[in-house]
Amino acid sequence: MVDALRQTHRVLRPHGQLIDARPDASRIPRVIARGRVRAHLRQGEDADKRDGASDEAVARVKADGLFRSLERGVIWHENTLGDLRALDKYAAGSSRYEGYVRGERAKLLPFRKGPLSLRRAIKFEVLERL
Amino acid sequence: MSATKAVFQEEDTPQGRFVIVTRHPRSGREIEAFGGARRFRGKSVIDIGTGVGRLAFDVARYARRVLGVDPHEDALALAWERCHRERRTNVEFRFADARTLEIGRARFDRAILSWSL
Repeated sequence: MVDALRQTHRVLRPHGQLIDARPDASRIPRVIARGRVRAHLRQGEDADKRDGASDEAVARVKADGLFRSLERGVIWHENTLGDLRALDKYAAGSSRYEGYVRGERAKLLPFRKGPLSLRRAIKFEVLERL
Repeated sequence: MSATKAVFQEEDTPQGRFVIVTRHPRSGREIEAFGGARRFRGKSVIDIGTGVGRLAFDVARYARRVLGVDPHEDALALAWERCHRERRTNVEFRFADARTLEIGRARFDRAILSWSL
């Protein structure tokens, strides 16, 4: 991860800007049906570790004087996945999630025909290349 | 969602700027959240880990030139297919790994690492 940031520094012009955007694990992903939050997905430990390593890599290149932070924020990104079967498939096949928060899948059964959406927080930071 | 409801809502909080992006894959709104025209107009941009070029095509609406790089040939093939189909002239794609970024001597004004770190 530090390698990728160092390479990005290399290909940016001086005072160029890097936009780093990643899922924000501190805000749990929400399953939306008929406009309301009905359940949540659970992130796996491996994904937690990867996110932590990414945060450390960004902190490292800032400490090394390669970049400085200009701006940061969070967007909520929502995508429609279809019915409950499609959401199950997504949750099971994702390298990031380990299914639903315990006991919450049952809450989705009344909405199994969909459409179900996944609303996720994406944190982003704009970094200036020094 | 009603026709009158805003699809792009912003809110400033102590934790930062929150933007509700209510439709997918209208990722142009994602680019707007990252600064839109203010940040990308007339700039050269590299999208590292571009995949099928979702963000690259959107940022190309503002940018002078966009290079999308990715280590997955199948994703790049789809990106090129869209590029040709839509006759885009300011977007190109290249095979490259983020850890080495072997792209020659080109330098850029902006870089995007979206879900790539």
